[in-house]
Amino acid sequence: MTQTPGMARSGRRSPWGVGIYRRPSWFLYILPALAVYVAFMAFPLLSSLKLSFYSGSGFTLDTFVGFDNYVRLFADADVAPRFWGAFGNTWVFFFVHMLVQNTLGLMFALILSDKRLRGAGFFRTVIFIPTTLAIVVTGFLWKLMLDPNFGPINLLLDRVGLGALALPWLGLEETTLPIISLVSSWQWVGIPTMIFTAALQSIPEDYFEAAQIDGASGWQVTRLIKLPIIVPMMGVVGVLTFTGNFNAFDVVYSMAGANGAPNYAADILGTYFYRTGIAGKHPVGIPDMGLGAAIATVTFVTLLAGVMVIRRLTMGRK
Amino acid sequence: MKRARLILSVAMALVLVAGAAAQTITVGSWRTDDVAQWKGLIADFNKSYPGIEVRFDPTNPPDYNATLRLQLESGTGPDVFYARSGDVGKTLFKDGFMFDLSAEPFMSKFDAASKFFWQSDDGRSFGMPLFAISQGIYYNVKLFRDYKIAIPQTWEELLAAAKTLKSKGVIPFANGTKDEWDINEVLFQTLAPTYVGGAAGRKALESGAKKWNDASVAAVFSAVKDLSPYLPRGYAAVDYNSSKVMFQLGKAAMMFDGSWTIPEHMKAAGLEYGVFAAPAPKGMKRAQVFHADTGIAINPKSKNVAAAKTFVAWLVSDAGIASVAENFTGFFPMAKASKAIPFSNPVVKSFLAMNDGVETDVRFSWTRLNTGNPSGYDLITANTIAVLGGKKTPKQAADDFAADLAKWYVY
Repeated sequence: MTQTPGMARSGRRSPWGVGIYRRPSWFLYILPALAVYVAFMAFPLLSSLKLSFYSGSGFTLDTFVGFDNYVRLFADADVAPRFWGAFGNTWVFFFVHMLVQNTLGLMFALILSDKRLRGAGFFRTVIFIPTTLAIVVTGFLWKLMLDPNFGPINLLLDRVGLGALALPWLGLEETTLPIISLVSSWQWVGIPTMIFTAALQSIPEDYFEAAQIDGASGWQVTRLIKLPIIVPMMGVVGVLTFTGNFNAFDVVYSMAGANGAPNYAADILGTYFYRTGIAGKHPVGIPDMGLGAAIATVTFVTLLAGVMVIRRLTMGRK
Repeated sequence: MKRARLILSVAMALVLVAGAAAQTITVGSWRTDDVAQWKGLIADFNKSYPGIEVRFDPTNPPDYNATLRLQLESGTGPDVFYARSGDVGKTLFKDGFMFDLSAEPFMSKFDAASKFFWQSDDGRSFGMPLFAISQGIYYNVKLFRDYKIAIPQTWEELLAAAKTLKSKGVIPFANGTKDEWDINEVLFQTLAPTYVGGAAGRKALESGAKKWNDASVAAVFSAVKDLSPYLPRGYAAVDYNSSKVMFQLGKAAMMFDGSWTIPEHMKAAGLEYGVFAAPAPKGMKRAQVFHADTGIAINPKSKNVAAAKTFVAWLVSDAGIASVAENFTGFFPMAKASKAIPFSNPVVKSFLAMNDGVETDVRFSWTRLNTGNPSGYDLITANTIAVLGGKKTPKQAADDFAADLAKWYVY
């Protein structure tokens, strides 16, 4: 017990009887991957963490300020409302995706994996097409569709006598974020659909035959066989959605600009970070990189905690 | 013999290449829309200076300030670059990223008022004034003719014209608030000089002689409110591009906008348009925005400072001024000599005529209010939108504007 772990390892025989684990040469095999990981993942992450403790003018951050950037982010009367606003909006953005995108994805998958459905390949393609389009394109198309005066959605509402409901969808503080979240859900619904379809198709046929012999109804098969089996996949989809949404930027940028207009109603962590840490605010446009790094760090910690919670909830039920 | 000739020609080619490379200057800019204009300008420049190759290298406008700063700090900045007027330019100069141009002979071609916006607080010039821009109200000539509307001479006439147009089912003003910057810069800041009393009124506010919630500031918000019934339906979701399209298609009869949009309107098929100044209310004197928009600075770390200076000096030579005026429709050269340029475009002429006999000033927020937290610029945007939406009265907007400025503004 007083031996150091290294000595303990060198004294034990490898279960494979190969000497490689006793010599440091194994290290050479993971070196390329490790180098890439350190250079492109770990180092930027750590240096960004470090930046969040600094302040300075322009891009030269040379003054150590301790937790000052975090204090400003969480408590400053002018900075904190923007941060908490963006933080809250990102959760709304996430919940809409969970509720709409992933629920629809699951439903589509259940339908698509049904052997009685004809033309499943066609529907699968249709559902997946938006995912392959650039967000700039879909954002622009939806902006045109939602145009208050000439957009087909409001023209249709006018035509059927519901002119009162023809709102400036992307101009009201109450509707902008939900609408953008729905557009994003529409675009990405293909991903959960694919994942769930693959999971459902991998369920052995025997289960369904057994259920049929026992006289289970279609709903019982879904609830008692299909859903429990794909719970781990729900975890994967949850993690993907969570990380995707907390890193989201482009859909809001293309539909509501860098400010998440109107009045920051659609501002999410991605746009707030872009404005603070990268582009700076119009018309001055000089970023506050220390504060930006603090936002990035908070986002990272939130992501880490969230992913751990989702894994705990879904992986424990194998 | 053959071999010697080969060596000689290779050597000559190398000299040529080296010579050309030494004489290449890049121009950094926030105007990605102006590639064609710059091509024309550079062609004119090369007629006089064939040995200097100029490369126009613009950056996506919202990223310009940050990108430029990063390039300059890492030593990869352009040789010559667009310089923001006021605070942003001053900061770059203070940090040593701009050449001190004060003693350059070409600076003598400008009057003191033009130079002012690219000068440090101690009066050193970091940028040569390149363009000014103007702002006013574009109107659809055909719609005005059809509904027998004369060009409004007073604010009251403007509102009456808007009312008439609305009753005919035409959108009076195409402007919206979705993009935020345009309602601030081309609506509020087009109106502001008249109501606050030109540059003198602005300076009185900036120096503390008048409070920021002065009646004159509330009057700007009040004028904004007058327009709210005449904006497009759902104007909150109308962005700048939609506004321009609405105007170009003749769905809207008027639009507050800047002179930089002329080239786009020229391309709109079948659009008959003109421009007039935002009129003052009856009995009040009009003042006009004529905004010192673009300066040009030289990178002190440039390897081709001499070529860069030659280029910048050429821009204010007679040939250069003529070329700028010719190629950059809607942008006005600022050198003293440029007053004599015979512009041919009627809308450009209308814009310039707006300056006749009235006081001109830069945009209201550009001198002192663009910085700070919350910036005066953001406060104008937020309060303008709140007044338009009926969430604040003009008086409340002015009071909130002053109260938030008090958090950081130092007289």
